[in-house]
Amino acid sequence: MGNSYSIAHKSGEIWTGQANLQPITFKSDRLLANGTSVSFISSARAFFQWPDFTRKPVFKFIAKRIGPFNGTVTLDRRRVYILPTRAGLVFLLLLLLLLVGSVNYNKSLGFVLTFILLGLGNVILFATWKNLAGSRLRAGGSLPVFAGEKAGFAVQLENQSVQTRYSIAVSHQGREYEVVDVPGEAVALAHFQVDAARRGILQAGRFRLSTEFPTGLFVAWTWIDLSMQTLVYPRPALSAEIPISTSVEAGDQPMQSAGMEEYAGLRKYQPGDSWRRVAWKVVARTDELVTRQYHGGQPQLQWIDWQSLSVSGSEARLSVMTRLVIDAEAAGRNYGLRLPGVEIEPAHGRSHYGHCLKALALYGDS
Amino acid sequence: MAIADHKLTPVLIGIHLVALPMYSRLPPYILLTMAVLTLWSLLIIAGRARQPKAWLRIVLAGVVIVALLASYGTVFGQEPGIAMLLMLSFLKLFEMKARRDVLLIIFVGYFLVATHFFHSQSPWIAAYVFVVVIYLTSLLIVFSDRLGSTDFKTRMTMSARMVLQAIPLMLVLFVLFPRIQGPLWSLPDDAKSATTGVGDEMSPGSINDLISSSAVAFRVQFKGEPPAPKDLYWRGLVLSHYDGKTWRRDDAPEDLQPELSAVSAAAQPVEYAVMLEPHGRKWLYSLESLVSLEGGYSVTRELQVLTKKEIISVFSYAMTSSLRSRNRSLSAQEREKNLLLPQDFNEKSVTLARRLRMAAGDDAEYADSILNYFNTETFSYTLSPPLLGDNAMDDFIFNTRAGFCEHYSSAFVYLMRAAGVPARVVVGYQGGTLNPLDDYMIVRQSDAHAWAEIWLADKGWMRADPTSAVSPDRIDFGILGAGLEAGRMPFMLASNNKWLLQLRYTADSLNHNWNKWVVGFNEKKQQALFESLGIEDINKSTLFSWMVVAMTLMGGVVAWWVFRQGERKSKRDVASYYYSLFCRKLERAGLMKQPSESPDEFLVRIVQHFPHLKDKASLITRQYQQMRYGGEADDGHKKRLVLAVKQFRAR
Repeated sequence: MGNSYSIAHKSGEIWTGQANLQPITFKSDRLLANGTSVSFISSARAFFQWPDFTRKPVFKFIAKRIGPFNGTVTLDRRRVYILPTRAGLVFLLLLLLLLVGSVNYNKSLGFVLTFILLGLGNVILFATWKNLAGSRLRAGGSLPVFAGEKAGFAVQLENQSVQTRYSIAVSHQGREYEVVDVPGEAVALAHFQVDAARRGILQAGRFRLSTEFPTGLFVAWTWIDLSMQTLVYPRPALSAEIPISTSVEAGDQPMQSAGMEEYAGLRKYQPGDSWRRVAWKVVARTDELVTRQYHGGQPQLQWIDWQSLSVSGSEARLSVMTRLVIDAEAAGRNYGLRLPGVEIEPAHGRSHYGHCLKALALYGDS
Repeated sequence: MAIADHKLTPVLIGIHLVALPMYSRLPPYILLTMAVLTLWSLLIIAGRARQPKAWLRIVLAGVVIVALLASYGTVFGQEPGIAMLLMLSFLKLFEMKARRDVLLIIFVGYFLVATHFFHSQSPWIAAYVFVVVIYLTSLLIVFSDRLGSTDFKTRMTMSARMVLQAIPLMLVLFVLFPRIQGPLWSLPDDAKSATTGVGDEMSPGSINDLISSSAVAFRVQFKGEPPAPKDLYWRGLVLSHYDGKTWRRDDAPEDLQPELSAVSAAAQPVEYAVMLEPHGRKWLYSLESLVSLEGGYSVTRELQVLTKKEIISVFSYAMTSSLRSRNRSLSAQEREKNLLLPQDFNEKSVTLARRLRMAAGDDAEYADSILNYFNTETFSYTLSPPLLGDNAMDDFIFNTRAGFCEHYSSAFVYLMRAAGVPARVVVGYQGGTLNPLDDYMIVRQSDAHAWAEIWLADKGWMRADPTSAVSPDRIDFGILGAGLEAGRMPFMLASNNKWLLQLRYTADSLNHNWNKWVVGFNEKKQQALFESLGIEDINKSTLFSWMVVAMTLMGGVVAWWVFRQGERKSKRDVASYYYSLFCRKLERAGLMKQPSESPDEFLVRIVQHFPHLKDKASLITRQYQQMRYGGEADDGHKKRLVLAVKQFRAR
């Protein structure tokens, strides 16, 4: 339940890694929430999906074409595969039937029709292939997420031809996430999500781009790994888990117990906030996720210290620290972070916040 | 997922486009069911009705089956099968759950348009089917365009382009695909129905009905001059058996060989090739008297040419006839057969026959006297003859005296037989019009005719046309000149408008060539085509391998065609191309653009080095920047840039 919100709510824009690019706004309504049954997923599943034979060691040579790549990849002829869909096979059966009928009834125009449909199939084969082949791909950026959430990745699809490339679907791990059109001489973003199970660096791995346009008789697809990665912050502990012995400095008053908190108003939902604190009534009314805020005269400066936490297990400790960072940032306090071997001076603001969470995410890696 | 209701509309239109040419031959129950289902789906589209529940769909399916049974008595066979597929498409409209349901409807549509060719293979129906195929393909696009970002025009353009790109491969396959003489299995009985033409029996009214049809029976191309109208008797069948009302075939046993070779080929042979429209029967038409023919047809003793299979598509054959020669074979059995009359009927006619025979010197003279009798007595030629009673001959000869060619030929043969002269009825066509635009003759259903043949001991079988005694113009000027009721004549034929005539001949000429090269393209034509290219004795396996090679080549050509689309140079590319040309010209003059330099910075340097080029260089730079980076570059920018760069001289 904790992760089943759509990333559409989270952000309206994604900053790409390249400095010269403008932030690219994506249409979030096409993004799919976890488990939401959006129509075309089920219809896509009803159709034929060929097995991903590239995983077999025999086909290593194919795997080389998949990547990982850095920078721009052009989908050339070696990277785009094509096969008939189930509908395509039925179409072939229809052609056979028409041919037998034409022979049997000796109808010349029957032959003409059969052959024109066969020719059409041939044209469709190339047209479907061409709808995908030749496009250029670039990693489109991603946002850090908390463990347990889904990391969203964007792929930039560049169309250099003047013809629109229609209905290109992006999927990952057998699940389809988005369908995009790429207009002629333009760039479009396609998004997919990857489960962020553990903190640290998450590799997006390879994803699949496929298209059945223009007829659904053939499916052209490619597997590509663009070495996309994102940072996964530790899973924030729920507020209730926070031990009272949290180190707070430079405040005159001692930290009040959780039970004594008083309601301090609403603020916009922050990733990691407890669902219990979401003001559902307000959400229902305004369609915006908001969290109830409590405070009890907290101090202005807070050290979030690895040592001072009486939590067993380093992952649990990181979880709690993450929660504290989130809360401190939300409350507008100055906070510092102390990890074994790492110390971040107290500050606040978006970059400080990111800095702290990154340190927590990468703790113990290096 | 349910397909959105508004997406039903194009599918509904598609089904109707597929069905349009069959409306006229679908039975009323089916049409009614179709109308109800259409109305219902329109209500669903308009949001006034819901998709029917599962039980209601079962009921609907039941209603459809009942409608089919009520109309055809069965759900098997060609026509009921087609109607059933059509009905299933309509029913499928009510349970479109996923894309595959729509695809099924579209595929059934592709199949159903092919069934139109059972009834007509005219260029018009071919053109119609072509358009419907484009439409159906655009439906495929509707349902694979998952964001719904294409509009109707885009889809139709895309679809039309794809179908056009399919034509080269179609042509290759059409010419090279090895043709097998079908059918592979016996055709259902109703595969042969729904054709018009002279039937294999004749009773009053049977030919009469054909007169108002301007449909083409066959087209003939003569080698050399066509014979005179009076010799254009196209023999179809010989009817020897009469039961008092109807004339039927009574062919000599098959083992009796005809005497084709005995006929002198020297006597005015006429060579001709016939393109016969499908009539669903097993015989061909020939001019009398047949001398020789190509192909494995059987020729009966009565000189009827029979085929093994029903003619269900345009059929071409070549023959030679001789206008002078006669069929001289008559066995005792045949003599007896051709004298047979029903007993105890038409006594007055029999008496008349005997009286006139007594008065005549020989059989020939007797025949003349009968023709004379028809001519001098008050007999009239009409398309609306009165009904005849049990003693049909007496009724006709002594009472009504008005009739059509079947009445006259029938009466003539009756009177001949009554007087002991072997005689028989021949049905076929008489006449034909030359198409002045193209050198061939058109014989229409309205040229259907019946005449007689009598046996004269010294001459053999002689043709006698009693109709000509009543209305000589019928033979010399064709059916239109016979002075018949104009209202019964085919409108197109009856008109004398010059433009209309011209148009008619052009259309028919198109039809003729279409039949000759497309509809009639068969094993023989295929072989003849290769022979004309100097390739003799091509067998099926060679043909097949050629086909595969040609297909591959053509597939490559089409691939290139498809891939080239949209890859043409965009404005940005054009700009870069000409700007780099400009840079190269400067380079040759000794000034090289640094990669790090922007066009503006480069311009400054150009002006420093070549002050006299300032205007031209800044013009080019401006145009280039406008096209490359400016939002609204148009063709004017392009033209100016191209011209300026081409005229640019650095020195």
